[in-house]
Amino acid sequence: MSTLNAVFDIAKSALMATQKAMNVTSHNISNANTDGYTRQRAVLTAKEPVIYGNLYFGTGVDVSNIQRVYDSFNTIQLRTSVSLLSRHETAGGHLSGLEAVMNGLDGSSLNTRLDALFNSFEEVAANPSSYGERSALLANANSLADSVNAMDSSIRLNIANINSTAEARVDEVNSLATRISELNGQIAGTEVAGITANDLRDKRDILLEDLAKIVDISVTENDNGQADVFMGGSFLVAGTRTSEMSLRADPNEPASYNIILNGATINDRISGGSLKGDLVGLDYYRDVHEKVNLLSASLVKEVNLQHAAGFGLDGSTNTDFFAPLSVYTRGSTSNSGGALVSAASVTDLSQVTLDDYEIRFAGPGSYTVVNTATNMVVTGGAYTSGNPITFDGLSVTIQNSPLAPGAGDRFTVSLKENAARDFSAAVTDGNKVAASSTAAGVPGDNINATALADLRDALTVEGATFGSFFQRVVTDLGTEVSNVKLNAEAQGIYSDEIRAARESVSGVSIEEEAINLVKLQRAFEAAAKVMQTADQMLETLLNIR
Amino acid sequence: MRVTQKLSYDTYIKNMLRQQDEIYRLHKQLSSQKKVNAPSDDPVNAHNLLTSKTLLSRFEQFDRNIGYGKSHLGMAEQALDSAKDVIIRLQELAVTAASGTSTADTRNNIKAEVDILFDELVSVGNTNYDGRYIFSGFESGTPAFDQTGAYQGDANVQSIRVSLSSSVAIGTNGGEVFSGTSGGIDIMAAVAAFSTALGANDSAGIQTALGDLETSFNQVSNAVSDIGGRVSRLNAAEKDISVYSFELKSTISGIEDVDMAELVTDLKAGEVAMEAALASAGRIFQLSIFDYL
Repeated sequence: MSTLNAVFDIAKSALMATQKAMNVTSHNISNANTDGYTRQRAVLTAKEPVIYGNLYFGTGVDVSNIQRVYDSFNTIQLRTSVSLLSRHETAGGHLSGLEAVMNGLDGSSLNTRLDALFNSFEEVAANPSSYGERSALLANANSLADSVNAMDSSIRLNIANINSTAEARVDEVNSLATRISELNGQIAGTEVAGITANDLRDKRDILLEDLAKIVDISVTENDNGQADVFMGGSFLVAGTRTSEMSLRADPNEPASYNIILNGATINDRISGGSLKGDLVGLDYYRDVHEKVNLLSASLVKEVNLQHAAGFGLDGSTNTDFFAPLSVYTRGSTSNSGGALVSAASVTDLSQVTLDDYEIRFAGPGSYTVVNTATNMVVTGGAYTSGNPITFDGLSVTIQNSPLAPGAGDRFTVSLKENAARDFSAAVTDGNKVAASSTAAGVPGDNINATALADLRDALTVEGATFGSFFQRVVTDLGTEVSNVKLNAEAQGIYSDEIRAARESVSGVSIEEEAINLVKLQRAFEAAAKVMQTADQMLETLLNIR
Repeated sequence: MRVTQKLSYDTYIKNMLRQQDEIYRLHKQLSSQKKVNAPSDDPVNAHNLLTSKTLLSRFEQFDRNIGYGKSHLGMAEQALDSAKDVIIRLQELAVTAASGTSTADTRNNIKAEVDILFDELVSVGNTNYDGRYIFSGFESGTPAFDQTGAYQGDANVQSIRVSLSSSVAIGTNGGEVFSGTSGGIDIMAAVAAFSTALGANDSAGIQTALGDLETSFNQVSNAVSDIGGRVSRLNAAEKDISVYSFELKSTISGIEDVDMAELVTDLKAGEVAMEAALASAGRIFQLSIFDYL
């Protein structure tokens, strides 16, 4: 085989191989700035030799493979860190929003307005017979109410916004899952022929990273190159099949959603991604909302009790200073029976605990009332439709409508559920402010006004005063915001480093490719020279006469 | 480590953004003059800041309360001082009436002046300040004394808070001072009896009146010095409040306000770092292999 023809073939193989390698290099250069692009490398191998006259003769070169220069461990690390980063960033955004709503240090904050209200009570105590101080008190009560109402509506609005963001994210997860499963099909189809589907894999890695930003995933690659994606222990993509993620309203908490995958609620099983950030943010919003409600309800209860005991300038007594608390009731959406709450009211404000209760039916004929804060049974007995159930200063009437309650049916009873939303001053006439402790003491008696002012020092809300309770909420929130920000910052730096490590392995270096370009050009020229030389030699032979 | 163009560009962009964020943060502090704008800026001190602000607002209210107290007590003191003047004049008249040279006529003349002084005493007892009868106890809407000098108010005295733990009575009860409702002499009745004795030319009655007027004077004087005592308590409380308020304000300022020297130095350092980053970026970006191939 050691013929000139063979030399032609060898030179041809070199010309072909360098062109192929040139193709890879130019593909690399053109994708130098493409996100998620993994640089490729043409693997040159010597062709099978042939034996001729007891000697092995080489037959040239070929491109045996085009490889992705890729570190799979790095990719897994990157996905995990992206999940955590996006969780902290999302939660941080939500918490900063909440901090702005609570407006802790601002001059117009609830804290300042609370101080102003109690200062006004003292002002009335100093001048009980004068109208000016009373009307200033009412103005301060109204501005406190404005700030509580605004806080409540912002919190409700933001909760609704986070919920709709979460819905959008779930849609995005489903669409990403579909595209990943399609790519899985294409990759398996391509690679069955033994070719690596480099650019399709890059695309799939980008989609997987996008998915990891939303929720933490684990990915395993099966034998035919398909990526199976698991989320919270349940599969989202298996080969070319996907399973749909959905949101469903929680039957016991109407404003909150459960994330459902393959029939299971996975809220607690996901730990990263912006969806988890949403869940964390929602938890905080709900927690703070409950505290704001508790504070509002406590203010109404304590101030109204004290105010009702006093007398106004016009002799009025037993008047409410703030609008009275309304009893909120809700039947669980999973109730099987047909009973409804027909009436609910406060019978004795001084007996009221402000805890939430559940009226639970063991069957159509008997109920127990459980304080859900202490988990203690408050009362219970035989159920008669339309008979009021009374406990802890409350009266709730449940009626068959027309069916009786079923076993396991639950009704939630809460005084604080809408306390912040409904918080408002009930007194509109300054003369009705009950500064006096006796009817005869009007107008100079300031004892009740002093007692009202002294409520600011009473340990009325979870062992704290109104002011210190709110301060605690704001401070805890501030600490949490700063923690989440620090976490996000640290995770951001870590992610940057992993990304740099990935870029370092898989990124395109222009210098390297430029040198490759020159190297391949020279190789091409050399191969061409070989061909030219062989041609001249052949000509020499042909010209022999 | 293998460094690619994308890596170095991305790193420069990130660092540049980080520097700019830092400079922005410092600028924000510089323009607001506050280094704590939200609790998360300094969670450790946020609680301290909030309680200090609440306490400061309470102290400001105490300060106002003390102001009211002082003006009320001042009014009462002024009224009682004029009551003292009236009683002194009555005492002079009683001494004249009691002398051996006084006749029924002169005593009748004196009676005329005593009756006027009685009315004046009643009107002092009915002193009205800002629409309130200051000696009527809680019944500040009703005159403290009727035409006959009978007390119509109740036995209470208004008090207000002047510090976190104490309150001070800022009124004087007219019943106590003028009618002796809690021990002491009924001054109004004593003056009325004096007038009656003068009209009846009753020397023994005039002698009794002389003694009663002395007791009356002492009773009013005691009330005045009692007021003086309370005013000085208010002054002391006011002084305490101004000291505490100052402390609180400096605590708040220490947490919240920026340290200009430190801030400007940090800002300068940030600018220098930014310039260095820009300069090095510019130099690296000029390097290209294609200039040499």
